Amino acid sequence: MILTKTENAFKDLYASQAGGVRRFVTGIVGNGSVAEEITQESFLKAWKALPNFAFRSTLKTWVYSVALNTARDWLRSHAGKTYVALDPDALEAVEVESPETRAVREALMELDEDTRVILMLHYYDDLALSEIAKILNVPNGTVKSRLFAAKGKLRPKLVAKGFDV
Amino acid sequence: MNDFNKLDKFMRQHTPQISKTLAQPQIPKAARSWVPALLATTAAVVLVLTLTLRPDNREEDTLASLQALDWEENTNDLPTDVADLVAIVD
Repeated sequence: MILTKTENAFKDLYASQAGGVRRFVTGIVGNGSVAEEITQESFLKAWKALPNFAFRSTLKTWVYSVALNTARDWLRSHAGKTYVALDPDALEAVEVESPETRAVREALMELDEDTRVILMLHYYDDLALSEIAKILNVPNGTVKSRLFAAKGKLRPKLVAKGFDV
Repeated sequence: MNDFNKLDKFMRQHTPQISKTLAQPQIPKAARSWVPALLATTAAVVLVLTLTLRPDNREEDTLASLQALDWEENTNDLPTDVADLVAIVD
């Protein structure tokens, strides 16, 4: 099979971004195994829709927005189910976890979904405001103000855990 | 003035960025300009080797075919002098 340039780019995207998308989704749904399924489903959906990809955004932000929507659909369809409760170890550490890293993870898990999503895209995935705007489908200015508000919610959580931030 | 400088610094230090750590290894910038030339040279060498080795292969194939024919002739057809001897005995 001869892959087009876009398909090759998508293949590379999966290799480099699947881990980040999985963790991002884990932060939304709060469950690692569910996040794994949603990540696979998101890449599959994106792959199937690839012929219709209009290049209005990058492949990366597009996959993240597909993942976000898929995760939110999953949350809606499982609302009220007890097993959706946030898994304390949902945001797994990549390496040995320091007390600070653990505090950050716990603080994020204490926040509401929208706040957590924007903070994860900003800090964990290190995306630019314009990329976050594409994923959330809102103007850049909205991202800026939401991020400011999100940081305002995060700080007291970390201060309560004994960190001077 | 960003009110969250300390928070930003703290978060940058203590959030593992998977998308970066899992990124595919990048070729150093200095080496990037050599990559196309290296690939082109490799392709050219492969092409030259393929073209120069092909006639040899053909010759070997032809030789093998001829040997097979000889073998068939030797085994299926008796040499004339031997055939004559057989006819005399009969």
